[in-house]
Amino acid sequence: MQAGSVHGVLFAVAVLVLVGIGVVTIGDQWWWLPPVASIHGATIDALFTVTLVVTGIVFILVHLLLAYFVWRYRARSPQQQAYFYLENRPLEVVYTLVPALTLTSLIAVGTRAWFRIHSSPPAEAMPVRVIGEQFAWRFQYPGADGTLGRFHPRFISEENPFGLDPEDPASHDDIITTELHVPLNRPVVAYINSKDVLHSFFVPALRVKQDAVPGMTTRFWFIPTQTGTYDIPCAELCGQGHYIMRGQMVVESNAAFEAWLAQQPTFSTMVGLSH
Amino acid sequence: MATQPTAATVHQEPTSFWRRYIFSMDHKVIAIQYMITAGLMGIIGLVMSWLMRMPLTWPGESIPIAAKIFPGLFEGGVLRPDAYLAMMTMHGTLMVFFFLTAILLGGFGNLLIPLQCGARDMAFPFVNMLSYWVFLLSCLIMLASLFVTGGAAAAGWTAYPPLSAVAAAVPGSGLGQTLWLIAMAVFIVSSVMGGLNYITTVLNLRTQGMSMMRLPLTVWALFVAAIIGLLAFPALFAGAVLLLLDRHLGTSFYLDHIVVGGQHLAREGGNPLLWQHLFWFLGHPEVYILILPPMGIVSEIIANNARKPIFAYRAMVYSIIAIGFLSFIVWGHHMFVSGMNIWLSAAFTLTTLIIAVPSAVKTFNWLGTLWRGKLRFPTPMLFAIGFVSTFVTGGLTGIFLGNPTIDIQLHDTYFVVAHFHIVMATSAVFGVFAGVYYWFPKMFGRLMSERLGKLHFWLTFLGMYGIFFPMHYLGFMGMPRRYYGFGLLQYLAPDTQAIQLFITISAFITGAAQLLFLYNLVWSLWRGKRAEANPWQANTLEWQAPSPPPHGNWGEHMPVVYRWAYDYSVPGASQDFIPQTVPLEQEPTGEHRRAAVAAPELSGNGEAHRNGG
Amino acid sequence: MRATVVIPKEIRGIDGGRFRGDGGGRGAEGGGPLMPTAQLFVWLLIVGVGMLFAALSSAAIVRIGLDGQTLRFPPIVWGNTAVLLLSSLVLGLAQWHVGRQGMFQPSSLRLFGGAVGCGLLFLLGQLGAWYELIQQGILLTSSSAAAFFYVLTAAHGVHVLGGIVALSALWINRRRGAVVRRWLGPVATYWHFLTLVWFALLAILQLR
Repeated sequence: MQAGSVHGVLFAVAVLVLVGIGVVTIGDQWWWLPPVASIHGATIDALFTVTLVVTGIVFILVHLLLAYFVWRYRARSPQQQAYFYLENRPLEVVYTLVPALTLTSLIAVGTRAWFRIHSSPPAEAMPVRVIGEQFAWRFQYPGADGTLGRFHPRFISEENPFGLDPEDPASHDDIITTELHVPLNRPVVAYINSKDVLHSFFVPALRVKQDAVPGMTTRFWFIPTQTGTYDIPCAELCGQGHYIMRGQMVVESNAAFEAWLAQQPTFSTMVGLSH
Repeated sequence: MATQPTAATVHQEPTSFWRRYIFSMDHKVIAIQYMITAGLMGIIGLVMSWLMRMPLTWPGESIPIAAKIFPGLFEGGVLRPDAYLAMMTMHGTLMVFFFLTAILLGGFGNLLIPLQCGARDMAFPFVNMLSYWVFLLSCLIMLASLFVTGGAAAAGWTAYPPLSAVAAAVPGSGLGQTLWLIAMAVFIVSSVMGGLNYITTVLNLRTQGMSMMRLPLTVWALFVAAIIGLLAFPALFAGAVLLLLDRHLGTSFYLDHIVVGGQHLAREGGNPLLWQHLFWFLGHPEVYILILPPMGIVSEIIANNARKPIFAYRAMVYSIIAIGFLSFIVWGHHMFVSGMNIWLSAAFTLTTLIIAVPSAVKTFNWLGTLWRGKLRFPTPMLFAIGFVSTFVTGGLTGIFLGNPTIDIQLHDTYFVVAHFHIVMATSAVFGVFAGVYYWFPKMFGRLMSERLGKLHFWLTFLGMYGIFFPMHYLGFMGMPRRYYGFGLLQYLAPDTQAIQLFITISAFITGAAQLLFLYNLVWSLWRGKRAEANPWQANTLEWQAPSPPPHGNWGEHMPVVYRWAYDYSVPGASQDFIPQTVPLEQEPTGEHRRAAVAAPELSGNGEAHRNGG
Repeated sequence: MRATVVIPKEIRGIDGGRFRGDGGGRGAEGGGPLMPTAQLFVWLLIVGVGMLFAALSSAAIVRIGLDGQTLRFPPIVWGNTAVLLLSSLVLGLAQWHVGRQGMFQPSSLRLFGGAVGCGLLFLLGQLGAWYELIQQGILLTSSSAAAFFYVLTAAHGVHVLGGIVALSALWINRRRGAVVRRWLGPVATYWHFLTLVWFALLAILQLR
């Protein structure tokens, strides 16, 4: 059996090389998250980094121990004796409690951030409805009255492909677009709906992700902190064209945003309401 | 209890070929039937993963060879997007249920539970046989769905409605999805029949002296996995029935008023989240069904090849039980961004991260077992220590995903794909390989080739890391999963294509390495070195039966158990292993708490034997 | 008994006594198995079936609660309930007789047959309830309460049918004392469980 002990050495080397590759590529951020462009996104990134450090330490330590034991205790001679050893209560208690406490702290900070991210949006937040459909995003702005008109798939018809309630006065001045423009540094609250199947409103740069669920309205609010144009891929399998369901989000100055919005036609002109 | 069945009372071995090998009620034959069927399903799932790699690696490029072999899936030499989704869905379904669940519970459960408990067979051999044939039926239905109009189901292995509920939503949502649901329901019936047998056998058919706390960890793990299955699978059955009604009889359990392809679907009040709850109530315990048995197998093999008792046996048992219990209250962590109540999410976070504790304890116990051992490295041991490495890697990434805040960014990206493939496709599969190499001599009376086995291990170990480790990077970058192509996404770094190529090359090498394994299996069946009864010098009961064990396993006399399964390198013993059937008068024991009573001569060895008192 | 019969009868298999495996039971804890294997098998089956009903009922409770409308049962449902309860009582009586007499005597056999008959009557009555609902125009798609009524009664009915098959198998084997002794208790346990489930379903479908 001693003949196989070379594989213990090989295994130790392989594990060390793998750990080395992991540490270098991740520690040196060869491939990394897109630069963060929202306030809560910075919190998510901070938590991500903390978790990465904690798990990274465990990853390295356990693999070092594994490599060392496999190398050190490989059977080398027939005289070698395994050490009969059943258990070590204090040690077991320690390695139960230490992970438990570490995880509890991670839960504590994670949950705190979670509730903050999902807290009620500030009163001045700009509402915008995100409507998912196979395979595109549409966005509804409240218009002059500041109120989003009612949405339900049952209102969808050939003349009214958007699903806004033509009877609801709040919808008449609403603006429907295919691009999401938002002003910089202003809270935006997205109300997310779907016309057909599940979708997920994902803005990687802003660390935003929330499913669009038919029959429900979900909500996510955020404050963009970087101007730019960002992709909005769909992150929940929605059919054959899932991979081409991509929207665009433009974060721009308030003036540019207002100018852009003023150019967009309202719902009543788009569907030819007579009011 | 004092008497033992004699050969005369054991039912006669069937003599006809059909009763012996096809409609057999012998648990060992059923185990092999399960393993072969599940293995075939695994190979099909593997080929599907290769097909999926093609458009990801070479978007839009024609691959004539593949197109020639699978003309129905390709158009102009390119895998079609709908075929991609069908392959993705079927790959997940086949691998999770029809390969891993079937080979672990149906294969190893059937093989090991009666042998390691010291029973002649399962409690209900007929039900056991029925369970296999129903499983085969579910396999055939699932495979048939590949050939129907519209193709196989394409809504993912999670089959989320409305995609899976409305035929117009995606090409595979027609007959393919119906067959998928029926196949799953039939599969559940089979696994419940199997599970009833496994649990009953462990509880009632253990041989004399085999107390629960003397059971090998393999049996403990299979036992708890069977209980999980019995409790969890019915929820998916309920979910599947309701989904079939929504699809075919116009109910609205999961559907509200939606518009698909310009057509109004007039349903009221249903909610897709109901399916997600029912699915994940099974789905998450399911992944523990897949990881517990490999944990048991690995514990067994590490103890045997370290020539040491498993470190902290009782902590191992308790952590298996804890994982089994906690696995039922973590399902919501799959739904952090689904619109589920945020307080529920917080509760699921707590339970999810707590389940990491018993997993960590098990890992440290494996390290403790290796410490100061006398390590041999036959192929099963290599896969076992490979499991420890990959389980740590895959387990740690779970801590990111269990945290709902971080999950906002990582959910449904390649980070998730990396995480569960390193746990399930790598760790769990390593458990399967370790188990096959280890128990092959018991099943067939011959050892597998070590030379081929080691080559297989190295290619698979490095290859699996080569496939799945880089997927973390793709996940960091925010690359969404279940995408046919990424051409539109501008935020992705330009070198993602190079990573994709690296992954695909690793996948082909790793896949090809499995041919070595198949060749080794066939070669060893005829040419392998003949195995004696106990080639690994192991303690558990199955090694006390001949290789392969006869019908009824134990010949004339039932084995009697005097000690636990981990009396390795006991000081004062005549050799470094003591089978469970060796009486205490003949050899000392290290079994916890019994030691002082049973082997007083050990008391002088206090240094080596801490628990003597 | 164990000293003379080598494979204890109660842990022989379902396959007509052709069972080959015998570990002898609870290992070092001694004292033989906690309960006969057939009884254990049925308890575990009850756990699995119970989970199925738990999943369906929790979906029903949430959904019917959200929609806020319940279904008025057709009156025949109450008759069916009485018949099912009667079948359980009669089966219990038959069990008690068999327990005292050691096997089926004509009196207990009549009771047993009565229980099976009541079971069949219950199923017919449930079909009658469906018929009445359909006559009233209340279909599977009418409301969530109606949908869950159909689904839960169908799921329960299928399991009752399974119970009737098991009872009939016992009837066929009524002269084989070993089979009756081994399986009457477990099958009756399953039957009583289904009666309990029915009462639970009645309550759930009336929740608001």
